[in-house]
Amino acid sequence: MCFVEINEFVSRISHWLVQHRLQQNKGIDVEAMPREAGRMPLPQNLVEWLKSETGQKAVNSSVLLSHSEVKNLNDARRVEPEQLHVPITL
Amino acid sequence: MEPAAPPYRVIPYGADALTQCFVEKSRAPGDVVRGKLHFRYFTDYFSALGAKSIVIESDYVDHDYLDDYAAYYVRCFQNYSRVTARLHFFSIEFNEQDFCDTLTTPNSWLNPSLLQDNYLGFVVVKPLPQTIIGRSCLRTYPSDSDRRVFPNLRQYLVNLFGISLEINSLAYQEQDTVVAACATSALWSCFQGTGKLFQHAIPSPVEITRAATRHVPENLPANSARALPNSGLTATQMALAVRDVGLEPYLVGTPSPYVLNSTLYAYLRCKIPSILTFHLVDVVNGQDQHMGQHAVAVTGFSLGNSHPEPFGQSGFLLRASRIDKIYAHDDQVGPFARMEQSVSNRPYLATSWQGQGNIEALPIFLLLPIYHKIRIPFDTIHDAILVMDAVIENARQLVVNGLVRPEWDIYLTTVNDFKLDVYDSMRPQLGKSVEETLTVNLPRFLWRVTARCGGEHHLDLLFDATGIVQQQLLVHAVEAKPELPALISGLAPFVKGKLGNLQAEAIFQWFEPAP
Repeated sequence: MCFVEINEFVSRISHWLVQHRLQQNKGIDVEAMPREAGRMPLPQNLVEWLKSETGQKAVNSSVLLSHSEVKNLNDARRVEPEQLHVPITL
Repeated sequence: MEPAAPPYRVIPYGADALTQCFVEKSRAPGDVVRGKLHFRYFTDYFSALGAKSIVIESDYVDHDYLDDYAAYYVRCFQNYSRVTARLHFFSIEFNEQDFCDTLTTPNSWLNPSLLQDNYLGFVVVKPLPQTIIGRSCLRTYPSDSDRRVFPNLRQYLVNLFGISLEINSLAYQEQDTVVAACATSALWSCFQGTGKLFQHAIPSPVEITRAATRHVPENLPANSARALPNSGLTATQMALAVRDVGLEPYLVGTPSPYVLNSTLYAYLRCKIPSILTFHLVDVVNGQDQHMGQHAVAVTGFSLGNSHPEPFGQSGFLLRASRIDKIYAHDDQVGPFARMEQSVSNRPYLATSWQGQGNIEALPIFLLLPIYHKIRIPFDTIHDAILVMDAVIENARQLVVNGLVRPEWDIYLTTVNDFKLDVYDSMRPQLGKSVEETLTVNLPRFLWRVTARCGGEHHLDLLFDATGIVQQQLLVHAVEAKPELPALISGLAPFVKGKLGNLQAEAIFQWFEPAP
């Protein structure tokens, strides 16, 4: 029991030291540290929201908004045909 | 017989000395020289760079002028010289004897290394009555902590009586209004950059004009059918000149400052200069007086805004919206001339042109000379990121505490430049996963999309710029921080098939968790 507690204590101290050294930017060998495996899961309340009608509506309206902005941009990017034949003389 | 001019002279730099050089080495009278915008521009520019001495190289054979001379001036009744003069500018004081010692004495204090350190570049003076500024390569303004960016500079080697000098610049010259109009000069400056980048021959001004005017223009009443003397080119003619060097012309309308900044930034980061055309309007007592249309070569930009400007209702944040000034080779003003984003009752670019009132440049379009393998245009990638950002913005505020809205940096790059950047600056951040990024097989040209949250690098998306629009172009992603990828991944199942944008769908698909 005591052995387990000491092990946990050492592990916590090591973790704290790593974090501390990272924060202080004292040249820890980050290449040697393992990258985070897998992705952070989304919180359950967001998943519920996304599944809900409100969430779906919010996603759909943001898509529509972005499409309307893309359309405006495409209109702005268009060069009028008559512009192609105007001499640039100055 | 007149005595031959000495091969060189050295004089202290000053506005009067500069006038004297221009007058002596051209056929222009003093009042014409002093009345030129170039003269005012150069005096301000050299003062800012700290010019102290000028070495005048009396007889200089300039390739570009010689081509123009052979095509036109040699057959004039008047006798024009085929030889130009070249003025070299240095930010160190020395006299003619010092320079003579440098040429003749091995241990002179003014050694080639000192000259190189203080070399500001050169200006060729053409022996013509009015349009006297020939090929000029000058040092740029200092970067001011990376605010000013001139990505497409190249190295020019200069041999000054045996002394090797070099200057990082992009060559500039004034239109002569005979073999070259403003559009020709702008194209010529652009080709100086693309020639080195894409390995094509760099044509002289007269060769550009000939290529552009190979066909009679469509709108004959407005355009002269004559090639030489040339009074101006149309967009179609400029596009023909681009084709003639083996590149593809890409035209984008730019009445909106957002479109202008985002497009020129995206290509200029890959060292591709663009030609900007605009209406010049003299606003006198609130009335517009249309002066005509003008073309310049865009060579740099200033990221002077401390924050990106949110775009539209979605509030999309693009790094290019930090641009407050662009720098352009304006053949009527000078090299790296400032054009500042301004707003009166409309957005416009403020220039150094002078008129009766306030001169406003109203952008019309950008013409980009693109290598044929760069097939995917900027807007395809930009629009996909805009759609994706709008979707993830819904959830970002709700779930990820403290994650600042991403600022997107979208630009063209090459696989070599990308891997060089990863190797040089991203290894500590990526840890062992950097190996995968450094060794992954990627196309030569890539659209790189970097997301930064609060200045921290979070994510890189790489799109194949050589593919076809109907395919999914995302070829690699670099996850520097977990939050943003987690958000995209979590949202992926809920937006599948709903985005109406293939490339935006591809991003969510890439991050979609395995079933």
